[in-house]
Amino acid sequence: MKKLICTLLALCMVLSLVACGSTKTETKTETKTEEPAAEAPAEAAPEAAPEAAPEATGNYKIAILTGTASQGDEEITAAQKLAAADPEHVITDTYPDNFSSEVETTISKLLAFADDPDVKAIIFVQAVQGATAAFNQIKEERPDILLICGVPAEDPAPISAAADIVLANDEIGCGYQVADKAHEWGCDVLIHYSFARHLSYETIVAKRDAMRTTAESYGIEFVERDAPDPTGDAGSSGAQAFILEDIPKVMEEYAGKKVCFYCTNCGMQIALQQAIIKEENAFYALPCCPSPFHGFQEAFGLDSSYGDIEGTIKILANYLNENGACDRFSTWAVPVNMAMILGGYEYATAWAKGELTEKVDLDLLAQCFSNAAGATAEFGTYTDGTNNYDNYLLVAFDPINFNDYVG
Amino acid sequence: MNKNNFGEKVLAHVKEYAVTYLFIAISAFFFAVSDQDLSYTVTQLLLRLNRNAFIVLALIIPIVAGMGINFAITIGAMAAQIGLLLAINWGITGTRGILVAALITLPLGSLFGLLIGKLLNKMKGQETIGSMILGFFATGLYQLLFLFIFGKIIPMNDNVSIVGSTGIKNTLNLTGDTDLYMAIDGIVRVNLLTTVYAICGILIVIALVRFFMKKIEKKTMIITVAVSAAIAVVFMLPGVKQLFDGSLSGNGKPTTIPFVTWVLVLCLCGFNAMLMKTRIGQKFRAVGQNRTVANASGINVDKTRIIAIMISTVLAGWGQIIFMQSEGIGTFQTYSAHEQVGLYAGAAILVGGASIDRASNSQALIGTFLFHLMFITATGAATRLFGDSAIGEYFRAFLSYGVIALALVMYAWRGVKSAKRAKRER
Amino acid sequence: MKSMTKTKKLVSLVLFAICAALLLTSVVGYVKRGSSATEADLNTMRTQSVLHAASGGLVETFASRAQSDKLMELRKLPNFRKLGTAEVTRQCEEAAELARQEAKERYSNVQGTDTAALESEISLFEDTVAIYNNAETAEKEVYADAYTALADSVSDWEEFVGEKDDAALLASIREQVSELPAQLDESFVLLARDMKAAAVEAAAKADEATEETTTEESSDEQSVDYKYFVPSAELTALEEQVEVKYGSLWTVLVAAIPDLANLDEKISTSVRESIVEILSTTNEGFTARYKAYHAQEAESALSGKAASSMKLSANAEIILIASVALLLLTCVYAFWDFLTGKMGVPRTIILLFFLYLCLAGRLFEMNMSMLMGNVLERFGMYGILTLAMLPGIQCGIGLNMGMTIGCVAGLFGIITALQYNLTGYTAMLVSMLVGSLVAVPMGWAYSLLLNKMKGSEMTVSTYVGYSFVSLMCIGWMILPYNNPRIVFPLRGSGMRVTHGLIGVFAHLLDNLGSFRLFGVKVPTGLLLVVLLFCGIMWIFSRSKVGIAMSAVGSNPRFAEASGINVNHMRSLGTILSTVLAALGIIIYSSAFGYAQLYTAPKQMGFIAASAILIGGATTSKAKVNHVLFGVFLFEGVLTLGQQIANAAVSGGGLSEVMRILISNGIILYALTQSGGDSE
Repeated sequence: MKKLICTLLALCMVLSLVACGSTKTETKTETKTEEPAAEAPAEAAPEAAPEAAPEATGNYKIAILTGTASQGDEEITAAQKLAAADPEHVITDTYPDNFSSEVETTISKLLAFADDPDVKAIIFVQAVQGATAAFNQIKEERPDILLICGVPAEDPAPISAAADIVLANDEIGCGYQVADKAHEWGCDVLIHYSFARHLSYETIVAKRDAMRTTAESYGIEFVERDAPDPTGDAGSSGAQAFILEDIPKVMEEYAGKKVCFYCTNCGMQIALQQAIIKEENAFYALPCCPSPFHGFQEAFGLDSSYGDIEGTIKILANYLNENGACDRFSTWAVPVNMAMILGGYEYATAWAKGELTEKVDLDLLAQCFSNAAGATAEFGTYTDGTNNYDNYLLVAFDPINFNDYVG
Repeated sequence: MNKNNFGEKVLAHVKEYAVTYLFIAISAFFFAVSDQDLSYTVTQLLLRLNRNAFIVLALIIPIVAGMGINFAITIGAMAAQIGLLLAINWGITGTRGILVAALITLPLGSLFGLLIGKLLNKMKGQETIGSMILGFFATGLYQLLFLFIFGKIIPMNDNVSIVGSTGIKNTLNLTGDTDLYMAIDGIVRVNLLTTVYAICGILIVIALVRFFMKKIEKKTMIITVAVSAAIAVVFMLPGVKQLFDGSLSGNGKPTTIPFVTWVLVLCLCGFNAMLMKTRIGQKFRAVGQNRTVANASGINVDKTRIIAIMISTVLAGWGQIIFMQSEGIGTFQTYSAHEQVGLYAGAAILVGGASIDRASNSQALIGTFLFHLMFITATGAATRLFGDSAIGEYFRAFLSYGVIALALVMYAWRGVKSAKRAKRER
Repeated sequence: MKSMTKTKKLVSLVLFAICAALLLTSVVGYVKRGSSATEADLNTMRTQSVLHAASGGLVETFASRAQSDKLMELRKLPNFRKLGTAEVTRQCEEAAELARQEAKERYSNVQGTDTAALESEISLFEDTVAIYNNAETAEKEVYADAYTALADSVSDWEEFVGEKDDAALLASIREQVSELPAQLDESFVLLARDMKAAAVEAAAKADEATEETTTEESSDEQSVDYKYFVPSAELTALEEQVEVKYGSLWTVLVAAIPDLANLDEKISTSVRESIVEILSTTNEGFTARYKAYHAQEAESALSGKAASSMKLSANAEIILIASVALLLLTCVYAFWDFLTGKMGVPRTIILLFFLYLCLAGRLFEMNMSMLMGNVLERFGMYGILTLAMLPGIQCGIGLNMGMTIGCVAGLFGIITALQYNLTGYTAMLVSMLVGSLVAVPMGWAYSLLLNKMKGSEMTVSTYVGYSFVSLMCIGWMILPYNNPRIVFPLRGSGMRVTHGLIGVFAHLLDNLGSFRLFGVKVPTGLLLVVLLFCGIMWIFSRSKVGIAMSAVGSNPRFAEASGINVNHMRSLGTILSTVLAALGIIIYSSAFGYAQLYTAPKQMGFIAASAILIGGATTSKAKVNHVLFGVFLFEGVLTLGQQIANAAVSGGGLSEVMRILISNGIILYALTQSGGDSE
């Protein structure tokens, strides 16, 4: 054993020596690679204003951390598009697929961004577990980095204290929207699927309460049903199978009544959509994360539109129309998570270029976000009744009517 | 010592620790590819060692007792989380809070360990399915406790309850008012370089003293002195020194390490080593080597196994407390924190050279070191190699699982070979 | 030992006696349901219910209105969202409670009214409603017949309608449907025109679409659109009569509760709705009636003996279920040795639990036939996946956690079929073929690895499976398939995570020859396929090769000594397991309705392992019946457990937690009964 330790230490020594050598060469190569970058603005300089200081504008990076494609391709596609369009200033990475158990990895990826002195802003969508911890450290080490996170998985109080800007779907607003939509469709019953672990999220509980109060005020019967937790013994396939089996059962129980369904879990949306389209009196007001890309294409096997959002909605609307379901489905027209990244990038660029004096400039942010979303966005701020979180911004759009897109 | 012999020895050594060397090679390759900052890698590695060493060390005893990797550390972590929650709820802050949590963990962890041990003893031969189902059951119990019993039956403070509902919040902040963040890590922080020099110096002094007291041979003394001196010299080299004296890091502060945490880890190492020399330690070994023989020689096998699980569960609970308060974590993910524990601790100890029935302190520490080294470097390397972050993450996952699988294959392979050799010799 | 048996006999006898007593009580309860005394009591309850609906029901109506008004008022506030949901809910509930108190004071006093007059009015109203309903049903049937006749006979609506004017069109409709009631003339003309418009639109769309659209499976029953239904004059007259009768009933009610007269229209409509709902149960048998009256707290109208007899009748079913439950328990107790000898202790306990779940389903009045159908379907879905564990155990590699390799191969088969737009059985067969072809070499390579390290396959195979799944994640991202239906919608390359198989081969097997047995949908094709594969495996395990393989699994040294090539046999078992996993995931995806890639197959090994172990297999010994039994019990407990938990404890996450605790607790307990003797 001792020998092993000796050898190991010796190896470490050699390695570190080698590594130190290589860091030096690396810094050399870095300066080398910087040269052409510096040359480029120099070449451009005659055309541009002569005062343009290449050092000030050239050396910033915006880091974007998203989920992998198996978590949904909205965010990662947006991030990669930006990286392709602006390779000098955008670096991207992804957090692990089982992010809830690999928090350490997520944290170290965020810290790796902050370790690069050029990084001036970090955009983290969806901000899964670990965001608060990492942001707290980054704030301490690098107060100059702008921290934007979207769709946080942690509770409002800790995350809004750690991040500079928190962008979230207006979950509670969705609660009201779902009930309103159900009322508009003349539904008699509203079914809310969730499970214990999800009901420990403050925002999900608040959303459910908003939905219930509103539904009851319309005289709609609000029913909570428990689905199996996809991380539990049933697995995500078991959870989906439950939804597929449960919806026909519910429809039989409420035979002759119109029933609107809502589920708080992303993984179950596909099953929900597939089951609902088959039932004449079943309705689907909003996905858990409202977007035209949330499950629909996969559930119905629709063609890819290669990034054309309007086209996607049209394909979807036509499919729904063929199945007589245009008046039974709705969602938001804007892929919000995508808009968070694109808008966040625009805003972060302004910050990195030094155009902002304060980290939070709501007007500019709203403008950036609206540009990215292609629709006017209004921000609300989150409150839990006693505390107001001024940098926890809620984004809401109106649910669409698919009939407008048929054809 | 003739040369041939030496070469053979080296070869045999490399073969013996092939997995370990493989890990070093892979990590070095990743590091070279990843274009990562060395100071970042070293800082992260130190952080992770500091966080995880204790939990990995907690795995040793059940392995020695022949019970394999103790999956029940997850349940030990649950006990620790109950303790932490109560500490936060009662508003006990700082180091005192941690102590209260650790105290609560002791009886809870022992109780859980006892129950698990009894359960496993009752289903010998079905442990696989049993532990799988037990995991689900424990999660259910945990959710029942945190969502329906705390808050509804046992009243809890507003600062830990879900706003607008009962039950415990999804995220509990350990920074701020609760002040549990770095409550152990932050007590005494010492400069890494000073520590290294000091340790090297102490080692040299001890070696010399022991040599002159004729307790050790000349050769051993020379090796110890030489290695210690070499390490000290390496850390004085400008390249290495820079890494730790703050000239490369963002804030210009020198690297410090949490003294108390490391002392705790060392204490645990000592505890493991001492325990093995006591009678109960002998029993663990005997049971681990051959249950039938142990039983025949009058050892209560079931009881011994239960004790092993109990100790390990409590230690894992404490390890979880160290993990959660440690530098760089700072939040308590109420419903998923315990899942992190079991995931890589088992893999780390295997990588260090332990097998299902044999493990030691150094294997655990080396394993933690190597495993996390690979983990840190793989992140950057994967992205770099593919130039596409979408694929990078999958590549990292593939490598982490693949390397563990490979390590296991190599150990298993060697096991088969040595069994064959033993057979032939017989 | 003998005295033990004696006590056992005695206890069993006592238990049987209790069962018999319970059974008898429940029979008495059932008999009482039909008696005239009960009928009279029910009628008393009915009157009370109507009174309650008109008074107590009103209170709730007022309360919910107040709540809704309050919410509307709050939502108009500019700082509404600043209030927080908890505050909003609190204010709304406060308003509701206030209104409830107020309304209670006004309406709760209905005792001592003239029930006789009310009862006769109720009977009259009820009869009229019944006559009206019968007439309406009859007319609707006629309409439906005409509708289907017309829809069936006309194939081309465009040609059928043409440019005809209304009269000519009507004539041609009458040609097709001879018995068209006169009042439907106009609406059918409209119907025909609408049909034509729809047909034209569809044709235009078909022209637009260049790709050939898949022909949708035409369902046997054409749905009837009641949009064009027009009631006849007689029916309208009957309806008027219902109005008249309700009017007189209302008068009596107002006499009883004067405040009713001052209600606004919306509330009186809701009162009427609830009264009609109460009365509509009269002809539906005891249970439905009792339930409707019970909801209106009508038991208070009964007292003394009548009340207790009513209770007995109402609870007859619960007593019956209790007696059956006890009977089951007694049987298990009495025949414990026999049962455990046949199935082993864990199986017996889990089976008992499963049967109890079925009884609980009955108790909560759930649609058991639907639930059993679900259990059967899940049995079919997971059957072959679990079967894939069998050859692995038999050949001695233990639980093959690396079966995910096979799953990935099967998914690759499905994706290939999707890429080339295959549908139906072609798609399924092609996926199976491609899947197996890929699975064979992969299984072989995997077996070489496993042969190198006998003894610790399980830990290794888990990680090998994981790493392969992660490797294939990269594979799915860069697979050069480009059908727009399977690539990421935004990215435009890389396979999607989930692929809907509707219109491809979803539910192909479960719909094949499916029939209903006591209302349970039996997925014949699916079950047959599972049984077929199980049969093949059974025959295989009896063949010379199969016996040799099992010998390797149960005693490798002996097998080696008797000249069997251990490595070959292990490879064979691994390949078989991998191929079965590939086929299993295809059948699973088909029954599920979609295929899921990336990390989805990671957990498949655990599900299959749990099922086969619960079925009674160990890591070194397994038989086909362990597979069948295990899948049925594991999936059965899971499926029923979830539904019953929802029915027993409503919402809030508690029911799911209870289910996890109870079903896993029972399985754990069952497992602890299996061993425990120390060596």
